[in-house]
Amino acid sequence: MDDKTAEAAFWIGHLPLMILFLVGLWLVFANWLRGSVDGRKDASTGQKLGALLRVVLGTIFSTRLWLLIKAFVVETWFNRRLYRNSFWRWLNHFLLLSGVMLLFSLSGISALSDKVLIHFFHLEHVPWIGMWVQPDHPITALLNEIGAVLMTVGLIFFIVRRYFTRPDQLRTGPLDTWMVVGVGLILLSGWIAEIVRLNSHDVAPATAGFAFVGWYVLAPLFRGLPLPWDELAHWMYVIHGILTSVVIITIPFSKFMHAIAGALVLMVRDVEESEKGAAHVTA
Amino acid sequence: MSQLDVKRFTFMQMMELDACTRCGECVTWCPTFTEKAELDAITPLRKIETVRGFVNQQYGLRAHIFGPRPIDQNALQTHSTGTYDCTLCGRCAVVCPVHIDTRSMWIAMREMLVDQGTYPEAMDHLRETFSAHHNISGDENAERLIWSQNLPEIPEGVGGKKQAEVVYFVGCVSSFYPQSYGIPQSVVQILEQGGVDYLTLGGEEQCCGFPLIIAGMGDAAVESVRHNVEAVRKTGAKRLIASCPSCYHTWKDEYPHILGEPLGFSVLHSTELLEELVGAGKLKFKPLEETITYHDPCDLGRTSGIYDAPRNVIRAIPGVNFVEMKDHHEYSLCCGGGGDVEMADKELSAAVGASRIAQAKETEAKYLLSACQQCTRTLAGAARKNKVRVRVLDVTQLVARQLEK
Repeated sequence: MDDKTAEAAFWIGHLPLMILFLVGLWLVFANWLRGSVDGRKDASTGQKLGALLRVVLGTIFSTRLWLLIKAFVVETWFNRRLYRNSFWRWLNHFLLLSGVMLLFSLSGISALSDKVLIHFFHLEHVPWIGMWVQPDHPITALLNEIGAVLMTVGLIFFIVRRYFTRPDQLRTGPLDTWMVVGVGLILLSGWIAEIVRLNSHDVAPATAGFAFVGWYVLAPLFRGLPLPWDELAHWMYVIHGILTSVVIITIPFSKFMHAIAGALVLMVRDVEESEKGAAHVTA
Repeated sequence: MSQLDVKRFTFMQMMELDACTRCGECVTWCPTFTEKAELDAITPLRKIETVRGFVNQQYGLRAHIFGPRPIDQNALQTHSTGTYDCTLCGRCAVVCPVHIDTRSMWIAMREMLVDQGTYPEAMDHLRETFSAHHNISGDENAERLIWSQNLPEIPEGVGGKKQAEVVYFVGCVSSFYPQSYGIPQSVVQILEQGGVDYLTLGGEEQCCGFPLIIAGMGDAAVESVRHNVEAVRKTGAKRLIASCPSCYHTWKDEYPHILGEPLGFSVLHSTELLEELVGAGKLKFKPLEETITYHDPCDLGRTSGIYDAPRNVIRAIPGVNFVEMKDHHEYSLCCGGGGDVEMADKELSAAVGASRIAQAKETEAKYLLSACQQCTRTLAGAARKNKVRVRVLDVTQLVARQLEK
């Protein structure tokens, strides 16, 4: 398998799965729309959508946007409510979320640079664009590595708490287990892809060290094995990409959905409270 | 087996069902689950999970492909028990990492359960009593001022005036339950001393509707809501005060929502007015060299955000040594008297009250004050039952006793 075949295989698997993901998201959103908007219990779906759109646009194109951004950072990312409850749980959540957000952003920026800015506008010569499609670029390698490490440590915390220390308050069920399995699959395949790539001939040794865990710790453990690293690197690229896409399509139907719904709820509540200057917590 | 309609939930609440992370923080703080650990259906986490399951059975991916599955009546019954065994104290909302407005969510769930016909029989009795008598006790509503009979002299504001600056909304418990008569008696004494131009509505006052609203039967309260607002508007009052936190919350937050318009007058809790009168120097107190602790009523604290006013009034009494209980302010433990639980499960209500009275005992305070006739009644009962030597009073009662004439 060469570069082009691997990429084609990835997109052939990824795009239909992303369409399924969007369908799933729509199903969830359609369920939310069964609830009343503005206290109007009998409003049609169109009327509810219209009312929501007015609120959303009225927020984005107003000074409330800053409140929303602040709410995202303070309440969603640095979840201070969780911090008040428990520092260790906060740290666990912060590591996992920060890792996910960082890797998700890097994937998005990379796809945007490759498929739009470089493909259509030929901007590969611009350093701040070209670097996102080079896995061994120091910044790209370092950021990806940090994201993966944060996620991995966060997941280990999560597993230890859910399955080993098991505080009484937890009610662990299939939804929680799928979250561990899903994130675990992404991370495991990601680390294997990283090891394989760093042991292949594609890697640039001068800068590969910025992927510090992979280059100095993991890749050397397997370097001596007589494996077709170049071929495997392409396969692992496809496998990691498709596995990630498979996990993504389960987001609307699993505990992963709290990442979207929870973030929205936290932001809405915080903006509401900022506006009314409420000292109390209920909405 | 039955179908489920989610029209009682808001868009935001539907989103909140998916926002729950199942972290279980709420489980740790739930006062009723602490006392009834065998019923997991009480826990906020389980209630949300159950309703999300119902929604998915009816409208989820599988329902779209293979058709909706009817709701299992046993599952609905268990959910009903868990939902009506909740005191609606709202402590779970304080600790929820994704800030789910749980109290509103539980009320929406109760509305859904009423639509499904799966709710405790006691709620039907409540609705019938309310409809027939316009109060929760079943007494003749014209007797609402019976508490004033023990006053040395009945002030003009009680049943005499037709117009005044302030309307004092007494509430059902203070009007009809003898152990709470001391609260309205104290309030009017304070209003007189403070030179407030006030009146009470007497038989024109009807239950604010709070017990029905939280039972999930709010539709049955609309007529009384309109009646009450009209009665207050006729007096030309600019302010309404309530010594009951639940009446206060209902007037301030629910009424404008139900009516779809502003009330046209402001709503204060009695402790807010007391704080104002103390600040204006209209009330002077005799010293009291005692240790006092304060219990935050759920509907005054967590629901309405009033924590400081009652504390400031207590601290204004010279000589008072004010101490907090282990759980206070937004983390305050419920007294057990909320959420209509007393009607659904008396023992559970008493067990929660016993836990709170134990916290009061730890402070070694001589007085346990609250700012709610229901909390005062529940905690006094818990103190008696558990043989804890503490005097349980409403803030207004202590203030009235310490007034310097």
